Order: sequence, then C-alpha cells, then structure tokens
Amino acid sequence: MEKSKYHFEFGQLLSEGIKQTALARQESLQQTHQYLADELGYAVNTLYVWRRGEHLPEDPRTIGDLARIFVKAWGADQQWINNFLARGEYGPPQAVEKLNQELFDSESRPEDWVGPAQAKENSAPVSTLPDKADIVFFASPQPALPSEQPSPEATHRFVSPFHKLIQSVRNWLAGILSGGPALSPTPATPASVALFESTCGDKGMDLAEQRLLVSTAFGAYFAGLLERDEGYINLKGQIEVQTRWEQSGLDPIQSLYWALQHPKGPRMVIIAAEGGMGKSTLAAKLIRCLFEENAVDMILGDSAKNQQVDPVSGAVAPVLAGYYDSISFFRRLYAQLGLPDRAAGESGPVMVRNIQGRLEGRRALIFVDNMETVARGAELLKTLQQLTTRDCRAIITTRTISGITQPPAQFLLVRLNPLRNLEQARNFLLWHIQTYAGEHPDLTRLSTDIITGQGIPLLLDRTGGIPLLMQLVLSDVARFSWEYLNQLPHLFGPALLNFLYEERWAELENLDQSGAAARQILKLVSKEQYRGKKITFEQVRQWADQLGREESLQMALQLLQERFLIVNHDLRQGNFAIFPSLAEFLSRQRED
Amino acid sequence: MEDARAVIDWAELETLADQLGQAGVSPGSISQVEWHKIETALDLLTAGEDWAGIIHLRQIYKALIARDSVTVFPLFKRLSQAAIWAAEKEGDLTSLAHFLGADGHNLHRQGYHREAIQAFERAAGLFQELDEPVEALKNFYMTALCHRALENRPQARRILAEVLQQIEADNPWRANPLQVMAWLVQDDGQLSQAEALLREALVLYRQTPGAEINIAGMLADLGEIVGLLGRDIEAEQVFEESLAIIKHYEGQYDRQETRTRLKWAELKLRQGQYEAAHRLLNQADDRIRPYGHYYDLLWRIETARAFVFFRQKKWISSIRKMRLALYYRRQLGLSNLAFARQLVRRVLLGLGLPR
Repeated sequence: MEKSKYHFEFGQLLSEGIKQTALARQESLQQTHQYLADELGYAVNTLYVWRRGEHLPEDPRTIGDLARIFVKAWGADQQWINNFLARGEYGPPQAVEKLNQELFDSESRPEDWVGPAQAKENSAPVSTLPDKADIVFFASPQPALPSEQPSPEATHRFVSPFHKLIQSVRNWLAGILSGGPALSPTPATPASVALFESTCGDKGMDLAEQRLLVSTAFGAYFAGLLERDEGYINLKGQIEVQTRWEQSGLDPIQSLYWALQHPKGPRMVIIAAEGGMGKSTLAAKLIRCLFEENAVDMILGDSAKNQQVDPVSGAVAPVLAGYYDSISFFRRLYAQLGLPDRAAGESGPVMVRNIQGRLEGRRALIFVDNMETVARGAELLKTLQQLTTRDCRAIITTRTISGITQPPAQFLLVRLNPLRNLEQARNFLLWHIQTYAGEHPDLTRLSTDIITGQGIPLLLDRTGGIPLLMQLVLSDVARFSWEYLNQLPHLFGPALLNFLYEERWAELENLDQSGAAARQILKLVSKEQYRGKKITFEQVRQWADQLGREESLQMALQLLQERFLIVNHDLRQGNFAIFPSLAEFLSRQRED
Repeated sequence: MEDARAVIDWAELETLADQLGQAGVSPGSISQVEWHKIETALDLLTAGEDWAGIIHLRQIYKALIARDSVTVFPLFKRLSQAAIWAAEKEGDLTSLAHFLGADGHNLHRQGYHREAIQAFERAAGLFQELDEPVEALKNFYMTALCHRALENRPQARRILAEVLQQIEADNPWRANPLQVMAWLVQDDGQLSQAEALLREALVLYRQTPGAEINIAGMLADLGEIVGLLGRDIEAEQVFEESLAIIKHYEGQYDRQETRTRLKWAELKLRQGQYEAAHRLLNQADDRIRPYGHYYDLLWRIETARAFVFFRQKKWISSIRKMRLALYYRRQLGLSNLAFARQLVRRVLLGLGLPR
C-alpha cells in the first residue's frame, strides 16, 4: 500500500509565508495564524498540519487565497509565489497563469490593489479572497481537464485513484528490478528540511498568566529556563533519537518537533541522561519553540521533587523519597486546570476523566521533570499515557530509564550523549565562552586554543564529554591553565561533579570574607530559586545590606561566576540561577 | 504576641499590596514566592494568637481583595477566614460584618451560593445591630444573586423588589439591583425590558466616579442581550467597549474580563463562528485558570464549549465537555436537574446558555 506523501517543501514555504506576514503585519505569529484561519475559514490546527507537510489543503483554492494574502501582506514576488503554487499543487498551468495575471499583471489587478512595493506599509487585514481564477478552474471537485497537459508536479492531486495504483505498482516493480527498495514510500526529507527554524525557541517566552502555575510546579530554575533567551546550543550528535521512515534525514531536534506535532507521532518524549547533560535545557528549548510556533498553548505538569519549603520557617528541607505518586501528580494537574480542590477521595479513573475533559480541545504539553525521583515511575507513565492525545503531548526528563517497560511505540526515547568528537566539543566550548565571557572575562583568553583544538581531547577525556563538567573544568582552565587538566583526579560522571563542587566549596571557605559571602549567596539563590523566585542584583544587594556584607558582594559574585557556580542571564538587572545538581549538593551541605 | 508583630515588616507588606494592585500586574502572573511574605506574616500572627494583627493584615489587602481576582487564592481564603475568626475573638463587630460580607462575595464568585447566603445574612444582621442600614441592605441584596443562581428566582425577585423600594431613584447604587433585575427579566425571556433596565442602570453608573469596572461588567450583560436581540454588530461594539475599560486595569480584573469574553463567545456561537468562539473561550479560560477556584465561571465556559463542539458535530468532545460542566456543578452542590430544565427553556426561548 502506498504510504501518504509528505509535503515538507510546501510546509516550509507556508511557514516562511506566515512568518513574513506576521512581520509585515507587526503582530505575533499566533495572531497571524488566527488571522489566516479566520480569512480562510479553517481551524488554526489545520494550518499547522499544512505547515508540517502532512498534507496539502484539500481545496486548491485555499492555496490561491494564501498566495493572494502573501502578495498583499508582504509583497511575495512572482518566483516565490510560483514555487509556492507548484509545491502546493495548486492546479493546471492555466490556473497558475490566471492567478499570476491576477496577482502580478497590473491591468488585471483589482482597484484596491496596493502592489508588493507598498505591501509592507499596508499591514491592515485586507480581505483577499476574490474568486475570479478559482471559479474557472476549481468549480467542483477537481478532475483534470481532458485536453490539458499539466506538469506532473502541478497535477498530483488530480491523479485518480486508479492512476495512483498504477503508479504504485510501477514504482514497486522499479524497486524490485533495481534491487533497491520500492520508490514510493521514500519521503522527501532532505537534511535541509526544517519544520521550524534552528533559532526557534531561542527567544525566551513570556509565561504571563502561566507564570504562577509554572513556577509553583517546576520551580524558578525551569521557569527561568523558559523565560531566558538563547539558553541552548544544538550540537550535532548529542541528541540520539529513534526516527521513523518519514523523518529520515531530519536533524534530531527537528525530529523531536516532528514527533511532538505529528498526529500519529509518539505521545510521550522521554529525555534520558545523566545530570549535567542538559535535559531540562533541551526540554525548555522544545517547549519554547512549540509555544513560539503556537503549537502549544498550555504548559502543565510537575517536577517530582525531593525537597520542600517549610511554609513557616521558609527553610528548604528534604522530603521522604517516594512520596510522589500518580495521585500527587493528578492533584497538581487539578490545581493547574482549575478543577475543584474540594473533591477529596476521588478515584484515579475519575480524576483522569476530569483532566481529559479539561484538556479536550486544547493544545497542551505536560512536562514531568526528574521522573527518576518518583517511586512508581512506571505507574506515572501509564497515567500519562491515558492523558496524552493527538493534541496533548508529554515531555519527561529522567536520569534513569530502568523500570520503564512499555513498548517503544508509546513513547519516543531520547538519549543525550556526551560530546565525543573534537568539532562538537569545539562548537560547544566556543558557545560557552561567547555566552559567559561577560561574567568571566578570562574565558576569552582560551578562544584561540579552542579554535586550534589545543587541550580539547584531554578535556573530553577527563570530563567524559558531559557538558556541565566541561563547562566547570573550562572555567578552572581559564583561572589556572591547561595544565590543570592533568591535576584532575580520574573520576567520572557524578563523582567528578561532586569533586568539582567539593573543591570549590572548600576553596571558598578558605578565602577571606568574600568567600564566605559567596557561599551564603549560593545558599540564598538555591533557596529562593527553589521557591520560584527570580533573583536580581537588587535582591542580592538588599540581602548583602541586611547582613552587612555589601563591601564583599561584588567580589563574592565574581568568585562564583569565575567558578561557574552561578549564572546570570540578565547582565543589566541580574537574573541569577544555579544548576539543579549544585542545589542538590548545597542541600547535602546543609544536612551535614 | 508583641514578638510576632515586631518581626513582621509591615511596611514591606504594604508596599507589596500597592505593587500587586497596580494595573499591568496580574496576580495570576506573579510567582509563588511573592505571596510568601504574606503567608509568613499570617503564620506568625496565627501562632502568636495576635487577633488584632490578623485584622490589620487583612485590612492591608482590603483593596486587592475587593478587586475580586485574588480572593480565591488559598492564601487569601485563609487570610479571610483567619480575619473572621480574629474579629470574633476581638469582639470587633464592624470588622466582622465587613469580613463576612467579603467572604460571601468570595463564595458566591466561586459558585458556593448556599454558603454565600449564610455569610451575607449574617453580615446583614450584624450591620443592622450596628445601625448601618445601608451596609445591611447591600448584603441583603447580594442574597438575591445567590438565590437566582440556585434557581430560586421568585425569592430573588422579592429581595430585589424590597431593595429597590428602599433606594431612591437617583442613588447611583441603585444600578446594582437594577442590573440583577435585568438578569431575572432576561431569564423570563423579556429581552427588551432587560435591555431597558440595563441602560437605566448604566446611566446611573456613568454618573458615578470610579465605577468603570462596574460599567465594564454591565456592558458585558448589555452586549449579551443586544446580541440575543439580533443586533450583532452593536453587541460586538459593546463587548469591545467592556474589554477596553478592563484593559486600563490590565490584570486586576481577570474575572470580569473572563465574563465578557465568555458572553462574547456565546454570541460567536450563535453566529456560527465556531473557531472565534473557541478562541474567546480559550482566552477566558486562560485568564481565570491560574486562580484555580472560579468554578462558577469554569462550568459556564465548559458548557459553552460543549455547545460549540456540538454545533461542529464533534459529538465526543461535546459530551466530554458537558459531563465536565455537570461535574463542576455537582461539586458546587448545584442541581443538574435544574440545569437541564434551564437549558431546555433557555434554548427554546433563545436566551443563551444556562446561568
């Protein structure tokens, strides 16, 4: 049986057209989608189906309408439009020609026509759906006119089922004869095809009404990841993802977008990796992009925590392992969805049914962070399976996948690999220097060494290619020299991370007042971050004033930034954060 | 006791109240920790049995609570309950009456109408004792809204008639009972009369300084009725005006905004613009959802969605939504039989969706 054809190139052009329209109309992508949906009489979701290249608009007149809108809104040129029409299989050459005349021939333009040159100035919504050309060529379900000789590309949709069958058999035979696979199922997914631009999700999102819910559920660290700009670098080979035939050739991150958007795609994406590999950062990138593209309009979920805040004292204390279960998770979703909190003692199935009811018709994303801390992770996965649908997907991060016994069809497993090759590591380290040089200027001295590859093999060897470890060690190299790598003990993964934190913690203790202040700042940030608070320069300054540490504040912050113990995502007002692994380390220090 | 009060930074709490009450700050968009200072203060005062301190804390957030969006937050519910308890302990009857009245509003907004009636009646009784007849009347009037929500319309009418009798014709506050009377008249299918009542009320409100948000609420009702009377373009203009007023206070009146968007969505539903209806309902839902407890609005939103899906022939989605709306109502102790009766009646008379 012939598998359905994908129309990635059309989807890509449509995406470009929509983005240009949004720019010309000076509105958000979400508003443009809505505008187009209203103009065309389709649901916004349908626009996404077309953008993903799953299928073309059923009515070719829609392609014409889109072309008119694009020409009027942002002055799409004739070449672009013709490419768009061809990829959208608009119709026979006569129809294309007629539309070209309408759009680009000044004599046949309607009186209110402003022309592409003025289009950018004219961003008001103009009804753009005349029917001249369409009526002639698409008056009814569209059989090809017998006398016409349309190009194969332009007539794809006019091929009858019988001809399709013949074509399939021909392809199948060709495949057999050539000794290769049958031709028809091979989708057109060259590596250059991108469902979303690589920069998608680089811009921080405004959580707005969701801020309270997100910060309450996931804490400030993750809320901060969502709201910060450019927190992710896509490194080739780091993301290992199982792909389906129709995704072959796609960049792994594009495969993830595809999976999270395709109606028949896996409903759960599990990102599994050790601490420090960037699971939450990747999840945040995915969420930001899906939000930016209006593919998701609601973020739900929870971070299975191993700490809690004492409401009276404000102290952050560890909680008993395994307290978190499906019912806890349901309660969190109930609160996020505005379901009644008085309904105590409801059974799991009733809660699932109510949650499903609330999610009906919404494009939601359920994010479960730190699933390894859940006592009955498999049970929670089963629960999630019931909640996820075509429009509601789940992203789960976990350090371990042991105990996950479900068949792979129900979820997509993503592993984050350590960085292995020189090129990968170089790109990552240069990105790190560029991003953090403002806080730790000595890093810039290493740029030349990194470009020439000096020290990178040893750095990879000593850190195992784990990104966070590489960042921590690189900051030490910037402080000392490449020779520092030879002094590192032969430890791996969590053991090395712990060593690096221990070493820094002890080093700060041995410094003067600034060191003590730095340790206190770390504890402050850890506590406030856990409670969901954004920590700015002003807050740190106030805290220092209260403790009489204002003099050592600047130096303390410098000590922390040089050691990559704290990151600041807003150099003007301050937005400090620490990595979850460091927060865990600090909580152990408190216990001690 | 003195210790607890001394530890609390009252100036900071007042600054926080000012900040949270500013336009552009939606309490639903504030991260959890911002509320922590209030929670800590309340914990300290409760532990120290500092009743006067609790009453003072409640007074600091009086304006914010009156704006109705935050009252459903668990913290503010706790603060309200603690303040009632503290006022009783202190024998501060004036504060107690005010707190009970505010609690009644809060319960009514969430859909707990029976409990709300109890709170309003108790507040009205206290105000009578305190020889404050106007305040007593205001609380008595609020029970009419609850009785209407409980399908006890004759009782609601009696209360309103009694209230209107006691208020002079030029008293701007009269706009309140007139508005509710308009709802009751609308329920009976007399749309033109309902419109006349609302317009009369609107004139009174427009003469009252600082009544902008009341006007916005009333415009939502007017838009609904004008739409039901078939004047769709005018209805849309009225809804737009309502939202434009609310926008001046962005974030402070999320509940009112939800109400307007919900009514506008119903108009879109009648016009057959289902995608636009979904969009407005989603916007309404997103506005109110972060507060978590406005069940009375949420069941209406879900009912409207059920109808939109029904018209779109998405039967399963429609059934799921209707089942959820009924679930909300059950949780609120509202009769689903009354809902069914009202549904049939309103649909037959073309009065919009159940209230």
